[in-house]
This record gives sequence, C-alpha cells and structure tokens, in this order.
Amino acid sequence: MSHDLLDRARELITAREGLSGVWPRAAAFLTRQALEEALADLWRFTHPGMEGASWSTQLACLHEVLSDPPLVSDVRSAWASLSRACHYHHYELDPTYAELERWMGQTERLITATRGMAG
Amino acid sequence: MLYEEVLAELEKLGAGVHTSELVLAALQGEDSVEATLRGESPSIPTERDVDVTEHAPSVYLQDVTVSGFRGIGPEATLEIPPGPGLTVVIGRNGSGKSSFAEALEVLLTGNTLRWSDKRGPWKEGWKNLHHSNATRINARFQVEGKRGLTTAKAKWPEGSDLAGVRRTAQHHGERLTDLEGIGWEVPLDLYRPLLSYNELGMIGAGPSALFDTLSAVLGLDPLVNARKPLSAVRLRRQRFDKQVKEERRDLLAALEVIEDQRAETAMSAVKKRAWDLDALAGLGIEPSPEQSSLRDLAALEAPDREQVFRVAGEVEASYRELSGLAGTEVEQAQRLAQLLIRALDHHRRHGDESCPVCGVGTLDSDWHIATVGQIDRLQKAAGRYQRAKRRFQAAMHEAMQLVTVPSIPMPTGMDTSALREVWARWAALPADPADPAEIPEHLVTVHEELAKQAAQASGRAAALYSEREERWKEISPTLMAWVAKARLAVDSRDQVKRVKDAEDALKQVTESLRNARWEPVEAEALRLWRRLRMQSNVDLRSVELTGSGTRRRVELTVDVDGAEASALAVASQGELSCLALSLFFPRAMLDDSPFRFLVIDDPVQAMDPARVDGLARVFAAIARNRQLVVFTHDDRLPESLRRMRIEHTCKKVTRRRGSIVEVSDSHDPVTQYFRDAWAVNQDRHLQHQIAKRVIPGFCREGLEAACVEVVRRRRLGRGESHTEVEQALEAAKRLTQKAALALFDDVSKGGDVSHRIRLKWGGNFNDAFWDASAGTHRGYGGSLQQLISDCQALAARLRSL
Repeated sequence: MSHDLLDRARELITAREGLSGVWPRAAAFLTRQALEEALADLWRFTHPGMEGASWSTQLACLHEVLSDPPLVSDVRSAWASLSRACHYHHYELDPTYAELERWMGQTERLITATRGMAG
Repeated sequence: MLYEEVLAELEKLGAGVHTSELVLAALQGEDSVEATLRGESPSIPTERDVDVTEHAPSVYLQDVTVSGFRGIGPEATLEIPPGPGLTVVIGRNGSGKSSFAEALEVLLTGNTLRWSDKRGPWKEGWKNLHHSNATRINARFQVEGKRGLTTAKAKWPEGSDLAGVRRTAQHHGERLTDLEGIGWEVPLDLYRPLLSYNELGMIGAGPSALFDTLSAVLGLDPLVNARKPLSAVRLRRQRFDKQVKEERRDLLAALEVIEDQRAETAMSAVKKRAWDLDALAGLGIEPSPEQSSLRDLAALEAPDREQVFRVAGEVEASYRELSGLAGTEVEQAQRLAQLLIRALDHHRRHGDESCPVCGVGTLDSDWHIATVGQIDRLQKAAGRYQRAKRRFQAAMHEAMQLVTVPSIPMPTGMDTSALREVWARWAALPADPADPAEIPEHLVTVHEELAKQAAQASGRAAALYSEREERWKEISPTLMAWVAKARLAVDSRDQVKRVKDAEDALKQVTESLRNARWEPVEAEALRLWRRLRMQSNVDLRSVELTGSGTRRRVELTVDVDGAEASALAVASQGELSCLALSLFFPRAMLDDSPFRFLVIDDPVQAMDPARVDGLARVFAAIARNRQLVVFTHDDRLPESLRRMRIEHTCKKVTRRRGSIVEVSDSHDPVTQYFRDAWAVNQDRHLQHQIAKRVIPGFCREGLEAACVEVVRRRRLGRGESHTEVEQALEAAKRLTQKAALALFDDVSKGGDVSHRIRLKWGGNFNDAFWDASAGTHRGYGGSLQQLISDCQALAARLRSL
C-alpha cells in the first residue's frame, strides 16, 4: 500500500503536464501518507499496537527497531518536512520538485527496510 | 537644452569668453578644443550632439516567452496584465521565476548584471541542460502609437556563448530590425526598468559605481565626458613643456663645456626665468664679437718684407749719399751762392766800389759778370746736396710710415702680449734719430721678429676661430630646434592656463547642474525611504553625489536616533535593500523614461514583515501609473498585499522535472487550496484512490489558511507587532490550535473548537473539519465533493470572524 502511494506520488511529479500548480502539494500529501503507512507497517511487524501512538512518539522510538542510524534520521527529517509542507505555513510556497524527490527517496528506503523485516 | 543650461551656468559663474568657448568646444571633442585654442570660434552644438534623451513612446510589457534558458526548458510564457497595475510572480528559488526576469534582462540589454562579472562555469550556465533545442527569448510589448504588438527576440547562433546573442525587434506590420534600431538602448541604460537582486545589491558595490549608476540618469554624461578632451589637450601640452624643460637641461650641459662667448650668451639667455628666446635665435645669425676679433687677428699681417727691405735700403743709401756730400764744396756752395747773390744785389744798388768785405778788390762790372757765372756754378752744386737731403727725408718718411702700430684684437683665450711688445718696439723708431745709420738695422731686425710673431698669432687665431666655428656648427641646429620648440612650449603654457580655467568652470557647471537635476530625484528617494523604513530607527537625511574623477561617490547620510552617520555603516541588510529600492525607484519612475513597465527581482529578501508592508504600500503607489512586476520567492509580499487589500495579480511559477516550467494564476491561499482540491477532484486521469488521499490535505490547508488570515488581520489590526503575531501563529502548529486562535483568540482552547463550530455553524461543518484533518493522514472514504464544499463554506465563515 505504502509503495503504491509512493508510486502514485512519483507519477505526479514526473508527469509532463496535468494538475498544473497543484501537483507539488498533492505529491507531498501522498508521500507523507506513504511514509506514515510504511511506519505503521513497521510497527505491525515488530511491535503491534505501536502504530496507534502519535506520530512523534513513533518517530522517537524508531531507532529501537531500525538499526540504520542514517535512515532513522532521514525518516525523521522527511516526516518533519512533509508535515510542514502539508500544513498551511504562512509565507511558504509549494515544495519544489527537488525537495519532493528527496523526501520520496527517503520514504522509499523506509519502505524497503519495512519489507525486509516483513521478510 | 543641456547646452543652454551650460551657457546659463557659465554666465552665472562669470566665466570669461575664452573659458566659455573652451567649455563649449569640449562638449564637441578634442578637435574642437584644439581649434578653439588656435583661435577659431567653436560652432554651437546641436541638441543631437550633446543631449541623449529623446522622448520615446511609452512601452508596456505584454508577455515573455522563454525556452532553453537558465531554469526554463521547454517553452514557457509569463503573461503580464496590460497597463498600469501590480503583478506579483511567486515561485520557490529554482522554480524558474528569476529565469523570466533574467531572460527579459538579457533580451533587452544583451547581458545580465548577475553574469557580467562572472566567469567560467557561470557563463556556461545560461543554457538550460534539459533542453536540447536552441535557446529563445521572445517578449512582446505594447508601444504607444503602434498598432498591434512589438516583438523583441533573442537567439543564439549554434555554439555561441551568452554574449553572442542576436537581438531583433519588430513593430507589428513593420520591418524586422536590430533591437538597437528601435531606440531603447539609451533609455534602458538610463532608466533601467529592470531591478535585479544584484542591482539592488549595487548599494554595496562601491561609492563610485553607485555614483555612476545614479548620476547617469541625470543626463549629464556629455558634461562628464567633456572633461576628457580638455584634460587630454592640457596633458599633451604639459608633457611637451616637460620634454622641452628636460631638453633644456641637456642643452645647458652641452653648452657648459663649450668655450665660446656664444655658448655663454646662450646659457644666460636660457637660465633666465623667462627664457630670452630672441637672444638665442640671434646667436644663429650674427657673428659673435669674439669670433670677429679672432677673425681680425687671423687676418693681421706684419708689414711687407720686401717693402721693409726696400725702405731700409733707401734710408741707408740716401743717408750715405747725404753724408758723402757733407763738409764738401757742395755743402758750402749753397751758402757762398747766397752770399754772392746778396753781394750782386748790393752792387746793383750802390754801383762800383771797393769790396766792403775784404777792402782790397773792387766791385765792378767785370766782377759782376764773373760773379753771376760763379753763382750759377755754385747753385748747380748746391742742387745736388738738396736732392740728396730730400731723398733721405723721403726715405725716413717712408720708414716712419712703416712703423705704425695697427689695432691688435684681443680675443679671449689668446695671449697676444708678445706680438704687442714686438709691435711696440717696431714702432719705437725716433722721427729724428740721432744716428740715422741705425734705422735700417732696426727695420730689418725688428721686422723679422714681428713677422714671426704676427704669423704665429694669426695662425693660432685662425685655428681657434675654425675650431669654435666647428663646435658651434655642431650645437647650433640643436639649439635652434630647441628654440623653436621652446617658443611653442611658452605659448602653450598660456593655453594650459586657459584650459585649466575651462576645466574648473566645467567642473563647477557639472556640479551645479547635477545638484539641480539631482534634487527632485533625491526628494523622491527620501520620500520613498520614509515610507519603506517603517519601524527602522534609521532615517535617511540626504543622498548626495559628490566629488569627481576617482573621488566621485554617493554620500548617504542617515540619522540614527538623532545622531548623524553614514548609511553603509549602520544599516542592516534589510535596510540596505530598502535604501537601494528608494534610490533606484525614482530613476525608473522619471517621466522621461519610455518604459512604463518596471520589473523587480526579489526585493523582499532579508526584509522583516513590517518592512514588507511598507514595500507593499510603495508598490501600490507605483502601480497606479506603472506596470509593476515583482518577482518574489515566498508569500510575504502577497500576504501583505492581500491583508491590506491592495489590488494585484498574482502568478505562481512551478517547475517540473526536466525543467518544465508552468505559470498559473495564484489566488489567496484559501481560494487557492480549494481550487486545487476541486482541480484534483475533477481530474479524470487521477484514480479515486489517489484523490481521496490528496483532497483532505488541500481542505485542511484551506481551513488553516483561513484561520491564519483572520488571526493575522485581527491581531495586527489591534496594534500588535508583526513579530508577536508571527510567533503566535508559529506556535499554533495544528489545525485545531489555529482554529482555537481564530475562534477564541487563545491557542490553548483547542478542546472547545468542535463545540463552538457545531453551535455556531452546524454539525456538518464540525464533521467536515475533522474529516479533513484525519483524511490528510489516511484518506477520506466519503463524498469528496461534499467534503470540499463543506470545508470551503466553513473556511468562508472562519474568514468572516
């Protein structure tokens, strides 16, 4: 599911046309959801019930289940950035293609790690 | 126009006619200055010669279309609403927004400030990497008095660099020309309707660069440029004078070693404070007295040897003859004849008688006859003696003639004492010598010595004469050439003084005209600064263009809490940006500028929100009679414009992968998010599965934006500072917190939000509120259309709080 969402987000940012001006935020919404889904899956496989906790709690405990410190830090940063992009912040404009691509890459790595655990 | 102002200023200065003529000639260039110095009157310059401003028809921007340039790959167009008004183009850094601004700059000016001082890779970066086709920039303009649009195009030949741009222009239905052909170059340079971020940074580019930029607009370049011909003409003369002075030193050194009266004369003439050039010139023509005396001495000869010998011989011979006759009958004969002549006389008177002398004989007729015969014999003998005496006397006379002393020249550098001594001895012949027999001896021996001395002296004099003449001939051409140059140099000193006077006058004229023309620009800059500075404690007092040449600078005097200071020292980055805008706006706003559009790239960088409000007001004022296009990288300026209800058009620039740049209309965020939500809902290519996950997000942001808007308006309205308001908003991260601020003005009352919405507007709005919030994370399973319209209605109610 999370991978599917990420693919849809990718389609949005790689499209050459359509949803003009709308696609950056739409892709941000999808990527954030993909990340959150992957996170929830991770808990389901390892510590069922944790997926119901608040996002900040889930992220705070992430290093307990993921033995890849750079990935943990990337996931936290991607979530924070996506979260910011998905809330209205006065004065801030839509995320750029490059930012979205970076967050997607970080999300992708979380998904792969999650799948590895689901084995 | 300028010409007349210059004349009036010169008159005010009380400049003399020579000075005024030179200043006017300087406006026409070096040749004119030279001609004026030669005494010709300068022709009166025409307006074309001295004035660069022509009234060009006004120009508005219609659109810019760019492909393959900087951040823009495939063709993208930015349209600007026609006529005066404010257009804000927002886009993240890297969105391609600034590429439009830069493209316009390259198209109009052939270069950009951003790159003009960059090298290497920067110069390469002007082409878009994602676009294999050629780079093109087109812009269309509405030009006053032209039907249809005027198109300007920039393209690059295969393989050329940025500078190789070919720019053309074409009025609708007219022939294609070079862009230079439509007369925009000069006004573009003067009024610069494109303010790039770098240009706004100009204020830090150094006082002289700023001076040039600001003063160019005053149209005084002809005056500034007129300094060059004057100084060139003056320097040429001063260099020549210097050269002549150096040559004078060499000349003196050469003269120093010459032993010649002329050299001395020349030196004293050259050493005088005012060179006596006439005296020097004279040295070339007339022989010097010294050379004359040498020449005379060389020509001096001893008396002719043959003559001397002849005279000596004659003296000797005549003296011998005379001596031979002395004491003889011949000598007595004369005396006896005298006695007998008197005795005959006595006989004739007294007749015959006895001799009264001897008393023995008788004086009678026989005696008388016999005596007459004797007298005759006696007198013949006496004649011989007389002749000998006369011959001797003649010989002596000749000798005396020979022994005269001629005037002997005494040239310096020659000892003539021996000659003089001999000659004096030669002359010491007594007129009545005791022993005339010594005379021939004297003549012959002294003459021999005299001849020797005279020949020696003459020879030496001749040698000296020609040696000096030789050396003089060597130096004389150099001297004469120098004299000719020196005359020019002396004349040119006077001209240098005249040119200096003209330079002074020109400087004063330039300064007073600059001040006169600068005054309104400065007043406008100060006015703008007062509107822009907002809460800044830095008050701009004056902007002065001072100094000239390498000392030219812009003096920005500010007042910080009552103390005077230099702006560059005390202003913050944001204040400097405002200062730059204050300085550059008046220039672009001058009535003489044909450009009714004005493009500003990112003026709000480093500005705090309060100052952005000031900027927004200034923009609003400018947009009343200018087509103002402002590029900006965040929402601060649009927010300020919206909040203050300043009419404007907003365009959003986004960039997709592959440098696909799109320009869309941008609205206030509330409207924008719901438009986006509707756009997703209506996109037929998008799966419902995706739409249900994306739409709640847009709805939530729409609601948040509505809350933020109402909070900001309310709090700023009651006098809270921007910083306080921003802090309060920043603390409200979630939708419920923002709603609590909007509804209760209290961020902690998030728990009461649901109740208040249900009570105030109805349960369906409360449902929509939570569906949007939760759906952002998990998607929304209900009717998306219902969700959007409910949220949109809720947002409208929130906004009206």
